Amino acid sequence: MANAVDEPIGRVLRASTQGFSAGARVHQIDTLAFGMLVRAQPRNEEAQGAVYGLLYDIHIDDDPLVRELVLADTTSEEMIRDQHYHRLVPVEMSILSIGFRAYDGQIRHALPPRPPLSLDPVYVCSSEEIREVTSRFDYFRLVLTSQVPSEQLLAANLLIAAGTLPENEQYDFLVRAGREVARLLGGDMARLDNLLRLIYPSTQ
Amino acid sequence: MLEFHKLTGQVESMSEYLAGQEQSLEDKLELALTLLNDYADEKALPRIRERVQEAIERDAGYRGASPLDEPLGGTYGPAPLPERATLVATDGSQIYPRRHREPSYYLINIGTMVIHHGSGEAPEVFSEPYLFYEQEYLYLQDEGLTPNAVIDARRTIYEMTALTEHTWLCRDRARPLVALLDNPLLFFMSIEVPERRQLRDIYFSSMNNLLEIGAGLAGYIDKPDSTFIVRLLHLLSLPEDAITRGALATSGSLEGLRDIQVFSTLLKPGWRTALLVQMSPQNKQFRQQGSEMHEIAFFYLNVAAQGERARLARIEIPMWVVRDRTLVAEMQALIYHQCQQLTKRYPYILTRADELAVVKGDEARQLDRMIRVAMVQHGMHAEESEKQATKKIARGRKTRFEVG
Repeated sequence: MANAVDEPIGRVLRASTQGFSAGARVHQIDTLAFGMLVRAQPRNEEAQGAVYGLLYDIHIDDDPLVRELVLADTTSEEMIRDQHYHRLVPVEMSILSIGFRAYDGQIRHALPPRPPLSLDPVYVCSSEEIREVTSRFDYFRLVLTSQVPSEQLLAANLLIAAGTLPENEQYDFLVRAGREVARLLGGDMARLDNLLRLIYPSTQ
Repeated sequence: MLEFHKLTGQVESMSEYLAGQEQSLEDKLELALTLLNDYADEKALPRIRERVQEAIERDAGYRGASPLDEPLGGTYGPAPLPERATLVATDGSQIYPRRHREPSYYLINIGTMVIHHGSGEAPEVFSEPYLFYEQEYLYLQDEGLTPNAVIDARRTIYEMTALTEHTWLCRDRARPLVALLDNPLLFFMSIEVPERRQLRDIYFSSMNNLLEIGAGLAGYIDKPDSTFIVRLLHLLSLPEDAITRGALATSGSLEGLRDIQVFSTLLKPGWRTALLVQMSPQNKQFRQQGSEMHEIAFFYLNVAAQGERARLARIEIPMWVVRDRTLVAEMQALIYHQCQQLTKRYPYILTRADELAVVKGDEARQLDRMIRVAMVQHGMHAEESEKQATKKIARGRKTRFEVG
């Protein structure tokens, strides 16, 4: 999962330093997953300035024609493809900023100095990028103090990140992440318990 | 500004009037159904034709229907839905020229959709805008700005040629090949249209191209107000010596009744009426200036789903389609299937062709800005008239005045 893709999954619609929304076509929805790490890339195509974030919401708007089609008894494959490929009904995804690539080439786990611009392309991060970003856990605090469903989001992200590691390293990775979570949520046992249950390895 | 309290009484009177009309329509409907029943079967066809011929010979201004070879009361089911077919539909919209807009221009935008029915492929969509700004298009000689009716006629020609072009490109794709317009096929142009002869020639030439590749052509009319069959029933109700221009100027005791009201209780979902032709000067012109194949016939089709209240559309088809009853039945099935995709029971393909064609208000404003910027870049100054500028101020949304 989350292998590098050359094509952007969408483009930035709205942005602030805390996060951004991006629009994608409906047929690209298969490439999206809650908790995945994405990168908004400035259009000068240099690595510096890229903003990293976690996808925490996928939203599909309707319109009167879609409502009509939903209510109709029969909908043929051609009509569904027409809606997916041609009509301007974008999938909107919301992303929480967790870091950026600084001018020294290093990834910083902090809010970016400036938000990405409208129409900047958004890419799914490659396995290498995921390993690089999640090699440290400094972004946990940003996630856990945000207004998004933070335990669910962080757990989904950690499971995706673990999936990019060799099988014999995955358990250790989740244990280390769990210890960091315990440190941050030591005063909130309910949230800590919830998050640890979500990332608890099914096998070892 | 509308003062609603001043309308209360008028709205009440209106509803009383409409309730009275409904009762009167029920009586008329009963009479129409009795007449239809008297002339419903095949044996009545010679009598009906004779009566129509009489009205024509007496030059009584008859504008009603005339049956072809199917009994007046007959109803016909669709063919099984073809597994594969190609449907092409075109629609157009326009921005009319405005006297108070500088520079003046008008725009025609044509939307086309091609559905490869049964293929599972995404349909093809096209949208083609045409901007008119030259003097010869914008002004009629000595008559000022081109009237909207002229632009409508030009738009219809653009729709027809786009429909033909895209259908022609699909000539090797799955059959039946069906071209659909969201208009009556009987194309009428007022005397205002200066180039009406050329436009008519283009229209007939487009029809010929469709005929040449064996495509089905249909015009779809939603919720038609037509009274062609009601007028025929009125003609049949008259004594022979009463067939006069005065008597045929209205539908007599059936006046106010529409064809779809007569057939809404008779047609099952997906079924159609008999094929008929409308006796009008326009149709005569189509036959004489085009050919016998260009004469336009029609039928009513119940596009409602099973269990729903009847919803009738009028489908117009040229005579070359009428002569291929397999194609008629397949087109009937395909159009009905298209209507089942939406609960409004209107063909999906026409809904989308309209959506592709329509120019929204903000798009029109954006085009205005684009033109103004281009003018400024060429050293010109674009100004709207004082009247238009004042209207904009008065109609503008109120905004809150805030400090800080």
